[in-house]
Amino acid sequence: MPPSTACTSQSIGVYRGLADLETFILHGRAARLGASAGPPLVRDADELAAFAEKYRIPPFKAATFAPGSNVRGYIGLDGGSTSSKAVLIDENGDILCKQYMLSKGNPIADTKELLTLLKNDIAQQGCTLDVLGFGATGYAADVLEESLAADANIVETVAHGMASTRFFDKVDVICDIGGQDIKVLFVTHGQISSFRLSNQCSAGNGMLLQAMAAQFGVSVKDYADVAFGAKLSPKFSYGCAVFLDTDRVTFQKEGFSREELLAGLALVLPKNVWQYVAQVPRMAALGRTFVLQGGTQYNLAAVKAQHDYILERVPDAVIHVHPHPGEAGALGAALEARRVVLQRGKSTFIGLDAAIDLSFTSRNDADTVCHFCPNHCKRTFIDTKAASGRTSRYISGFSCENGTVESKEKLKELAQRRKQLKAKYPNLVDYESKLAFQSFYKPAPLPEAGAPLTREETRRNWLGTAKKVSVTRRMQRSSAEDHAFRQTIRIGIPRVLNLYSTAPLWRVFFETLGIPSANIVFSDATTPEMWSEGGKYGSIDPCFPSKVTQAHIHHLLHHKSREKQLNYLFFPCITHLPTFVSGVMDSTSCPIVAGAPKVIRAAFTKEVDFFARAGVEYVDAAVTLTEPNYLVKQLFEAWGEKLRVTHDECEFAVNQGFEALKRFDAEMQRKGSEVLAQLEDENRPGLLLLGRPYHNDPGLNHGVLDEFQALGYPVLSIRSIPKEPEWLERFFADDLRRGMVDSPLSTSDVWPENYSANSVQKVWAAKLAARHPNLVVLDLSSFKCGHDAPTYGLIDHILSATATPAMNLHDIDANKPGGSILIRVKTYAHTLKLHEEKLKQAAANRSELEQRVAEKRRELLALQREQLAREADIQLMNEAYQAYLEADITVELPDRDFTFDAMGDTQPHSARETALALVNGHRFVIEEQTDLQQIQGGQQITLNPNLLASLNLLEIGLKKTQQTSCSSCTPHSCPTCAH
Amino acid sequence: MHTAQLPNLRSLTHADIEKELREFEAKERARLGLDSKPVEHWRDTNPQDFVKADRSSTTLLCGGLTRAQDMLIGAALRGVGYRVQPLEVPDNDALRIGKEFGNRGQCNPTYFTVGNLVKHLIHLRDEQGMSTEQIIRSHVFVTAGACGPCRFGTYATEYRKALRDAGFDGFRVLLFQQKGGLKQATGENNGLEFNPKFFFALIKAVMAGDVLNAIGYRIRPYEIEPGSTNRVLEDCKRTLAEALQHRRNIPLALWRCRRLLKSIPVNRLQAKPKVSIIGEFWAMTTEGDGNYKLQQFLESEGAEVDVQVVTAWLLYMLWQGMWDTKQRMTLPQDDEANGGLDGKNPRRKLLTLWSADKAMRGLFGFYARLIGLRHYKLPDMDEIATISHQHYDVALRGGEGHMEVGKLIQSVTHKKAHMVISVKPFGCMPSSGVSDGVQSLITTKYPAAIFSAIETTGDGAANVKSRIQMDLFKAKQVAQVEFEAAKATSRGNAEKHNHALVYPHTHGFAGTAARLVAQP
Repeated sequence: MPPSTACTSQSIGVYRGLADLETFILHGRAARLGASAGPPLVRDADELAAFAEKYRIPPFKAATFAPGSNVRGYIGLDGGSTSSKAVLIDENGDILCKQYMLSKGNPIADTKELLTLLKNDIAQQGCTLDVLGFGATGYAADVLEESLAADANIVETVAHGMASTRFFDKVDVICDIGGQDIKVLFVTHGQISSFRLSNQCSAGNGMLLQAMAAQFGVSVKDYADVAFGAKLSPKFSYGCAVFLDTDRVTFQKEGFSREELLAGLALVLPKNVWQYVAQVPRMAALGRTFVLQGGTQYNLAAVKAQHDYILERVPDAVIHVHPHPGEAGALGAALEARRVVLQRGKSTFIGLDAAIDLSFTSRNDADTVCHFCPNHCKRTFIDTKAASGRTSRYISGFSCENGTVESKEKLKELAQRRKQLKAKYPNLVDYESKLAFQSFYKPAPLPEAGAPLTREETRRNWLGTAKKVSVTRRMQRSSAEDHAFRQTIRIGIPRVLNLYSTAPLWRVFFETLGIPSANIVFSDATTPEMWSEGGKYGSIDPCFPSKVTQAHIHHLLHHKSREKQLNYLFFPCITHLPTFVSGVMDSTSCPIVAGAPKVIRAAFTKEVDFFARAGVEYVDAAVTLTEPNYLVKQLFEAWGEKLRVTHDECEFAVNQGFEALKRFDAEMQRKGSEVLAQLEDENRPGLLLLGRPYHNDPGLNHGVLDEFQALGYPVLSIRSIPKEPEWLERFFADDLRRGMVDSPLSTSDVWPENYSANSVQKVWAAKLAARHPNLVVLDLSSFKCGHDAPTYGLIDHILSATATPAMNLHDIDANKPGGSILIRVKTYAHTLKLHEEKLKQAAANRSELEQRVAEKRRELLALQREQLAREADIQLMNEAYQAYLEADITVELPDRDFTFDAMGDTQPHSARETALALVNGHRFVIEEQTDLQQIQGGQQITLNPNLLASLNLLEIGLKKTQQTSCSSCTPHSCPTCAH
Repeated sequence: MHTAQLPNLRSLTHADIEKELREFEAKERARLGLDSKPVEHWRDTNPQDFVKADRSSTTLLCGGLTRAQDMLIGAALRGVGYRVQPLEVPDNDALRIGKEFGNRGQCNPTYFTVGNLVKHLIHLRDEQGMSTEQIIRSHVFVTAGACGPCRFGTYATEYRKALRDAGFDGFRVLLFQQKGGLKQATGENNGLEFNPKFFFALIKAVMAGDVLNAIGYRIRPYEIEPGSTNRVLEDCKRTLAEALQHRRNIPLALWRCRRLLKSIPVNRLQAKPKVSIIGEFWAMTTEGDGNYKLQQFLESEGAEVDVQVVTAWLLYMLWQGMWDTKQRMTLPQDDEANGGLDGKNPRRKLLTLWSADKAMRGLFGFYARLIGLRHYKLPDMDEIATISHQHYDVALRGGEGHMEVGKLIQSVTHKKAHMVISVKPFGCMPSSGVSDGVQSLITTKYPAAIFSAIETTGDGAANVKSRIQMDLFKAKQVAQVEFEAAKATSRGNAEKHNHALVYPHTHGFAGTAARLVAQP
């Protein structure tokens, strides 16, 4: 009721009829919502009809055959988690028939059913089917490869790419929206050059639309018809499905109708695809030919929304909807099987009937549990038996490689293989994660009591003006009793967050003060079990690396301290971190990471004081690692009384801690140099992890690095990259020369707001990867990471400019999205394979070029000699040559530096600047050397007569003649003789 | 093998050979795909060129505080010689644009503010018909920068990214550092001089806006005629803006505002819950979709809102500088990095910061008295630090740091509010990620606190408002009980003092009505 309506006692409670309500629904609602609402999906019926005419997918008509004929073809099968699809293609790659079914839970049973349906399609026409090859993709591909001896096991992304390029020329972008995921593939020259995949979030996929439609009692098949009926739409913000749903609640409350909400959801879909998943703000840069695939394209409302979104940003875009949007994966698998079989000349497939008749058992019981590590994974064994007697076993459900074997002997073999793999393709991230917490540096002993300590101190007068003075004092030591006391102290430290980069400092600090190495106890690396057991104290929901700290504290209190009582639990609030990047604004930690110890204190003392209960004192002092002198003060305040140490002892221990950090860096860089040298020698790519220190934790990186190591790619950490300017200048020479940066370790040219230590190191590492041909990138970020978010665009710009291969996992969280990771790894592996081929090809081409140029040079020199020999004055030259051979030639040089440039053939030099000599086909250039007359009185070099035996001095001789013939010049000014 | 066609007239010279080899190599390189075009690496050009000569033809865009402050800052900067256009308060359209062109995973103040700028430029291009080049040439955006540690410090990165991706590559974003002092980036030819004149103009506008906002939130919930306060506030804003723009007497303008405000009829004898809004700076300051128009919503639900003034933020910046200096000035050796005092004079620095603190408090108090804002006390930074340090180390920085914890404790111990809402963007690092975790301990220690921490995403307003309504119901009950208790001690002076500019400060009561009836 409008507020102005007068309410009298007579009017209260009197029914006024529906007229006002109807008026509001018909006019008022739209008028009120209109101001904030967006446009409808279509303006009018004509627009809808034209659009539907162009983009509605025509019904598929299966091929027909003459009865009695033998149909020959290849089968491709896409075993998805919600549905499975199969296609039969002929020998030319054209689709003959296809089948779709909702998955029933067992991939082999689903496959048998699909194959039977395909067989029946042919049999119903009175024909027989001869399967020439079989390819699989999707989550079922591995088990099908094993049990059916599939010819091809291809990752979904590549399968979709092949299916798309089969139908359309010059595809630039493929956007596949399936029931569970979104894939956006960027294509260059018919190959997937880059890709983006949705993570575990369902925002924007087909399932979301289906679920939303179901809430309004609308079947997904009727979605488009309902949504096209809307005259306006609410403006959803893109984002995760949970936020979309809360948005939906708000809009519903505001009065939007069912039609409008469904239209709004369809309209937000492209935002989720392009802004949330693909993160592409400038679509026009991707190209102009877009192919839409995936089952969601059957929903014309979704297609219309995509179509309008793309055209608004790429006005000349050509947008295609794949004619078989739901079966594109299966089609790609069939095409790949065809390619493999034709190339190999035979198929490995067990045969259609054998596959249909395949018997199998699936076991998941006490006998299948893996006992090779404490995880005790509940594995599933799928055993198959073909009519021919062929058997196979497929194992799933394990969390590590140990789960792939069944006996101790096999486990030993596996360990042996793993060891070889580790040595051949080192994973320096893993090494760093272990080394950080080991006792690898023996600290220097504390100076004796009374030993002189000399240092420069700051003295200030009452005005505050500083003066530096040299001060010598006597070392103050604590008593022997205090030392003995410290030997009994046990300190627990969680293996989390920035402890991954600073642990050596803390370990050595305590060891220097006399705490035995064995009494410095770190929690274990994160495991799902640890999180499950200890992740129960939190009241907030920050990023997983921060949340998981509670599980580590729990682990220390309930496991480590119970094994042997801990006295203290040390979890410092590290506000600032040292960084190797130069010229930064500041060098701060992330505020969540820095504050996590305080959140832990609140969580563990809120209702029950768990520290007191465990008899452990919690120390969470704030520390600043970029100010060593201030750090001494902070640590002395935190530990001085507790450990009964003097200020001098504390200071000495801090210095030793920093020394340990230096050794840590040096060791990692040493290993990194070795790996990089090997990569360069062998023209292979190595994976550089762009991550924060805690991403070294295998529980946080979900073992994704091991997957790449297993594929034969060494893994490097940012810390392992050599930081010596001399080494780096190879890659940053141009930047330095052009004044873009003042140091190879600077990021000022790409990111002025560079105060976050770990973020700026990631950005610097991206810069290096963009300049190093053998480095490819894996960029890890945890969900909700606020310090990484600003770097996404920067890193993307930096790497894209040089087409450096990169894979992003920007939303890693507590759960391991195994399927999502696997598909990314496989797709990226495909990209890396192409990159490696490119590296090797480029190396081979460079080698060929050198060879061809050298040959050419020899050829030209031979020709030159031949020509000279024909000339009349050759005799004179021969005499000159003989004279040189016989003389001990001494050349005097001016008193300044000169350089020899063995690659002189790449840089032309003017005659004025150079004197030239040819030795064994190489041209040596003495820069800034004008003529032989000018070098009197300077330094001398003696040329080896043996060298001169092959020296072509003709050029020098000619030049000398020419220069001496000019009589009118003044030094450095004559254009005639270049004097 | 390819054989060069060489002239017959003379033999090959070395130059001929080299030339031939170069040509041969170039052809071979092309054939083998080794054409080495110079690689152009990506750089952030970060254009900053704005010179004095362009000042008259260049519009400074700014914004991001309250409506009143954005308007007054615009006027104040015009008063010191700039062309200024304050942006509108960011709305959900700005959020959508910010999300489209910003990095994923950012906090929503980034999206709102970045999107708001891009939205304005798109409006200039598409609605006003300006060419992109013209827009870039004739506009710059001015905003505050920081050195972290929360991502506020990277807003400039986001502005540039969004501008590039939205097609405004080359648009200038100029920063002044909020801790940079009164003299930054000045030069003979700088178009925008971050000098004392500039900053004094800013400070005057911010403080005038602060006192106007604070008094507005005190009067509006009790106005008898709906809308009367807002009408008067608009008149006050115009009065102050004219004074700032034409560099007239600000105290006189404030006094005129006082007369206008005094005329608003109020009834303060209504037991309304007082709700203190704390949290992340932008989320608690904005008055638009960025916090679901939280202040307006609370008032519509029958609450009196206690907002945080921007001046308190400036005092926090000064306090940080003083605390950091005091911690380090006794070290035997100075450090170079970060807050180290190497090459600095700590005594002079302390004196400067202390003087700035006193000057700000003095000016604020002066403005407050002139406009009629009585009993308004700026926070005692040392007290807040002391009470919060054991829970939230004051060395931890980012956002409001330890202030949220301190303010919640104070609201209970000093009976400053019946309810505290901590509003922050989804995933706000210092606020959601640390403060809220610590606040769970504070609410256990102080069970009387009605505390509601809400994250804003730009979506889900219905859920957030429902949560607030639930807590507000409790707060209303507490306010009513308190009012009844106050009435028992009433000396009957309430009606006498029941007008707009009287704001009683009676100890032991949080509610305005209770304070009024209980005052001696």
